[in-house]
Order: sequence, then structure tokens, then C-alpha cells
Amino acid sequence: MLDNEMNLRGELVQLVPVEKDRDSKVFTQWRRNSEYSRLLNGDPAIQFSAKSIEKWLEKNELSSELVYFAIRKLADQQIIGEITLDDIKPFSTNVFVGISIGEAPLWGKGFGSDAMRLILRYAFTILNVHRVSLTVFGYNQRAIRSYEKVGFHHEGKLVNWLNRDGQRWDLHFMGILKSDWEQLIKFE
Amino acid sequence: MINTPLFETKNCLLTEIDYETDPERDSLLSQDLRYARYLNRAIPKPLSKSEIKKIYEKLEKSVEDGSSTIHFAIRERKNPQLVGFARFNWILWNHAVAAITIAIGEPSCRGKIEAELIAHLLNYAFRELNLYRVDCYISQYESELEKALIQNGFSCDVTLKEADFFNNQYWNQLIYGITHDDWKNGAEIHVG
Repeated sequence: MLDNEMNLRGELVQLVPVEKDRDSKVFTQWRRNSEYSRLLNGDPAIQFSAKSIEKWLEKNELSSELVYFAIRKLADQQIIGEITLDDIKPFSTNVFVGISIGEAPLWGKGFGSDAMRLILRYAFTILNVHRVSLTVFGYNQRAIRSYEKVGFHHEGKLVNWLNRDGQRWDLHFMGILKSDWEQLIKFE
Repeated sequence: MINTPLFETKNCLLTEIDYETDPERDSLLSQDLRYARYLNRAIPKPLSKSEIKKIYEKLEKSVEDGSSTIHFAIRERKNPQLVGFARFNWILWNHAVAAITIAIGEPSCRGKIEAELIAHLLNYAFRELNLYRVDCYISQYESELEKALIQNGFSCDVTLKEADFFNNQYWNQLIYGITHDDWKNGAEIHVG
């Protein structure tokens, strides 16, 4: 039997569609924090206008290769982060998840882990992928701990892959198989 | 004088795409689904000449737009018809890293030219592009390629468990990598 209502709501957050009009300015504000920008990806940390973010969001609306959600805090409905599933293809075996909490005061308070549990459930039970992967920079230890907590396994690292702030850092790969996730939720 | 040849190995030529002859040849090679998987990751299938042309055009546009891709059509010296391709993907210039793809569609060449191509691509990566690190993502079943990578000093740094599905089974995806220092201190192979 299916539940009467199936939504992407967890204990702390809900995954909701990104609204380009509502969110582009918020996303721009988050990127003014260079610490945040340097956690996002390997591109040089630069500033984007709300207009350019809006244009990018519009381009990816209804994309069949990318799932893009905003993370909304249940307590006050504030948009606090973004989460994506990328590299989705027909018959995808493996997809990559990317997550960021833009509101820095909320880092380390469990919102990211809650959002990650929701996206895993979505990836495995709706998209029916075999596994979910992620990459994370060696200097983002807080994120690594959060991913371990949710059930991701370490699968290796590309040593000295990233050159940032005057030194080189490793790129870590983590992943979780559907079968491992199914075991995990049995005990939750 | 700088006279190290960048675009030829002992047995192969690294060339541009030839829109006159390559679509027909790649269409024929794509009947092998192992090779087709490299041409169109979304749905591996034999491709028409027109579909191949579209792939080339998309590829060349991405080269023009982003400069994060470098593509070579691979031909044998003795018979310069297309046998596959070699490509630098995801070049991140700010970190001096890139991934390489080597796809050989001609069955008589598979397992025979990968090692010299990789040696040559590393020379290109470290002496022309000035990269710090090169990686290569392969499926566990690509044993010829894996052997050639190890032969060239690559080490397996990441194993993505059951990340690929092909021929009715899951395969690990392996990421092999080599840094400039590792290459310089032992793995450097003189290219022919």
C-alpha cells in the first residue's frame, strides 16, 4: 500500500522546487560568503548576479538529467540550502548528489543530514537508481562526518586533486548502494 | 628547437575529426556496444552517420565554448582510417587536473595501442598542458585499458562499487590517477 501522501518532508526540512524568482537572489547572497563558495565545487569562487542565476535555473527547468531542489526549513519555511542529483540518464545506475546549506549559522545543526536522507529515499524509491555517489573536498570534514552519519561509505580519494588557498587538497569519493540503504532504514 | 612530436606515436596518429570519412567509420565501429558506450553514454546503441555528426558538432562546440575538452581522432599510421578517440575531459585549469578517455573501437587494435597512446597523452598533459594530475575513469571490465594504465604508472585511487551496468551485470568503476611527480619519478616513458 502507498501512503496517502508522498512528499519529500523530513524531521527538519522539506525538499521543494526551486522558484527562480524567489530563490535566485537568496542564492546570490549565499555566494558572497567565499567560505561557502569554496565548498560548492572546484570552479574559482566568483560572484553571480541574480539575473545570471535565474537564467541558469530557467535553462534547467524540466531537465531530465538534473534534479534540483531547494531545502526549506520546516520550522519557519526559510529556504536554507540547495540539493541536486546530477548525471541522471535513462537507465542510470549511478547518480551524483550535491548539497549545500547556504545559511552559515545553520551549519552543523542536522539540516543537511535530514535533506540528504530525503534525497536518498527519493533516488532509491522513485528514480530507482542502484547507487548514489558524491565527492567532497578534504578540507570539508564537517560534511564528511555528515555523509558518514547518513550511511555513505568512503571509496577512495584523488590525492592532491585541488589547488586552493596555497596548498593542494584531496578529492574524496563516497557512495551508497541501494541494498546498503535498505538495510540501514530497517533499523531506523 | 622543440621537436618532440605531439601528435604521433610509434603506431598511431592523433588527429582532428575528419567530417568526410569519420562519421561512416564511427557508425560502423559503434555496432560494438562496448565502443558505442563511449560515444553516447545515455543510451549505448549503434549510431547512424547523422547521429555521429551531431555528436562531433556538440563536442566541437563544447571545445569552443569552454576549453575544458581536447579531442583527438585516433588513426593507425599504416592505414589512417579511424580506430577510436582519445580525449581530455573536465580540464580544470585552476587546479591543473584533467581526466582522459581512451576509446578504441577497431577490434584489431584493442589491447595493442592503448599503452603507447597513454604514454603519449601523459607527455602531452605534463609537457604541453602543464597539468599537475591526470585521472582516468574506467569500468572494471576494461581490462586491456587497465593494464595499459598500470604499465604507465597509474595507480587505482578510487573504486566506485557497482557504479556501471553493462551486459547484464554491475561493474565497479575504477578511477586511476597519476601526478606529474609520480610520472617524472619513474613512470615517464619515452614516446615513439
